[in-house]
Amino acid sequence: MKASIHGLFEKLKAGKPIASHEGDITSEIIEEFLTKVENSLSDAGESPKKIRKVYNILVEALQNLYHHQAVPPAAFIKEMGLANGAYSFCTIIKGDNGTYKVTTGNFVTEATAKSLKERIEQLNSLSQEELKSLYKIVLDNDEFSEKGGGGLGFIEMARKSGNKFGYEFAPYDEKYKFFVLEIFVS
Amino acid sequence: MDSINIEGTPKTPTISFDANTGVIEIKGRSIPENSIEFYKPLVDWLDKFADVAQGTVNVNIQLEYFNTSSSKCILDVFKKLENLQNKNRAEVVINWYYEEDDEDMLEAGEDYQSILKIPFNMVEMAE
Repeated sequence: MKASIHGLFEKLKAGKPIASHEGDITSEIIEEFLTKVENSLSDAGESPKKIRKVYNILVEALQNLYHHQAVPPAAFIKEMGLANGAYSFCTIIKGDNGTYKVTTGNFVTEATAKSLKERIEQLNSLSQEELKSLYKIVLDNDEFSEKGGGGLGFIEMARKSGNKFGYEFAPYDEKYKFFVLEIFVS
Repeated sequence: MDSINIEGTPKTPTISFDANTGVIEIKGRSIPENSIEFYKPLVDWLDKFADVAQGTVNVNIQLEYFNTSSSKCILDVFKKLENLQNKNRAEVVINWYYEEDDEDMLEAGEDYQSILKIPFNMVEMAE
């Protein structure tokens, strides 16, 4: 299975990724990733508006990985030789039509996969106005999850992206799926 | 009471909370992984400030980026300021700065404005 997930990452970053990372996601890695993308887009003469959208989405995508890194299956840790037992990936690529695609991947349990799928499909069905209303309701609900997330990350990504999420839950074993999320910024 | 001055970092904003002048400023980027840890001392300070505040409290928010976990903490800051106003301790004015082509930042300010009952000035800055 190692080959299939690592291969998936290799396939996703084929072409010319602006930045990509595979493995543990730390605070320092997030900072490096963001700086690299910001500088690269700025050097390429991208508009400040688009740079801001991409940056905002990347912050949420990377911090989602940081806060919700499910421990990968033991066999996977062993196969990949993961020293600290954490694994996820993130890559950002610019398509021919000028659209940026951010892709993240991480292990999730069956139960998480089910609730994530429902959440993504719900957000994909909402208009920009509906996303704005939902954002304000969740912003003002005083709740923080135990991991410090406010439940706003996905809503914010949907608002900033203006496009539907692409996603896949690739089967791994009886307990885990590998969750791939695609966010487009056009 | 003591003021709070914190230098900004790539992930946390510059903070200047001055009890004497009643000027409260948050500037820069607010994208820490753990926003609660960063904002808790600020929210606690505002609780104490409520006992001494008078006159006008000018709040300047000039953010380039903020993540969604900061957005909840910033709302907590605003709610403390709203309480200050509700208790008639002081007049609170929030100046929300945004760069002229940054409609998303303007909209973020308007989102807060619609939740809160304190006056907001939307201040456009030339790039």
